[in-house]
Amino acid sequence: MDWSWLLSPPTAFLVILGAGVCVFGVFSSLALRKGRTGAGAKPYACGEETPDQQVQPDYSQFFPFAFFFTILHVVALMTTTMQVGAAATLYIALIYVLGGFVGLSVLYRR
Amino acid sequence: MPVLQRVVTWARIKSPWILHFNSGACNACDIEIIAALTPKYDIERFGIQLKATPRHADVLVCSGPVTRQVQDRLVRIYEQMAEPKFVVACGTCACSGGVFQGCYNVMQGIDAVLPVSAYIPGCPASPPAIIDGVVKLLTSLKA
Repeated sequence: MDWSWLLSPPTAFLVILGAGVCVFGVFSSLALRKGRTGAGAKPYACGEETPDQQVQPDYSQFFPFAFFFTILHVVALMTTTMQVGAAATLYIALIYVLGGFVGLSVLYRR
Repeated sequence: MPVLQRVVTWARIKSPWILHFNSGACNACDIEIIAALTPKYDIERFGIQLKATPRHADVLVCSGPVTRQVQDRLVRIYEQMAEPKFVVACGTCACSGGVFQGCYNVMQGIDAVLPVSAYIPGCPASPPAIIDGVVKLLTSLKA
C-alpha cells in the first residue's frame, strides 16, 4: 500500500490543526475565567479615561471578501498544481474542494 | 493538572514583568527603582523586565502616597493588568503615607486603594531593599 499520502499537505494540515486544538484546550483550562470589566476593557491611556467614539471606522467589513478570495485562491492553486496520474490526486482534490465549501459555509452562515 | 499548574507557576515566578507607577512620590524611590534595574544591582537577573503598559505587566511597583488626583488613574491602570497580578508598595510613603501621613491630599499609602502584596520600606527604599522585597514576593508565590 502506498503510504505517501501521510506526507501530503492535507495530512500535515490536519495533524497540525489537531495539535493546535490540543494545545489550545490544555492551556485554556489554565486561563482564568474572569473577563475584563470596567476600565480593564478600555484602551490603555496612561490611566486617563478615554471617551468612546460614536463612529469607529475599521476594515472588519472587508474580511468576508478577503477570506472568500483566500479560500478559493488556495483551493484553486492546490488542485491545479497537483501531480496528474497519482492515485490519490482525485481524492485530495475533492477534499480540498470540500474543505473550501465548508470554510465558505462557515464564513457566510449568517 | 497539578503538574501543568506547577510548570505555569514556575514560569510566572521566573519571569515577573513589572510596571512602575509614581502615585505622587518625590521621585527618590523612582530613581532607586530604576537603579535597581541597572547592571550594578541587576534585578533583571530574576527575570524582571520593566514594561510600559499594564497589559504586559505582572507586578505593579508603586511609589509615593496615593494623591487624590492620581487615585482614579492608579485604579484604572490596576484594572487593566491581566490576572494574576500583584502590587508592590515601594518606599515609606507607599507603605503608610510616610511624611505625608495625615495630609489632606493623599490616601495614606497604596493599600488604601489597591491590595498590596509586598511592602518595601525606606526613604527612599534602597535597591538592595527593593531586591529583597521582590525576592520575598517571588518566594511567597512558590508556596
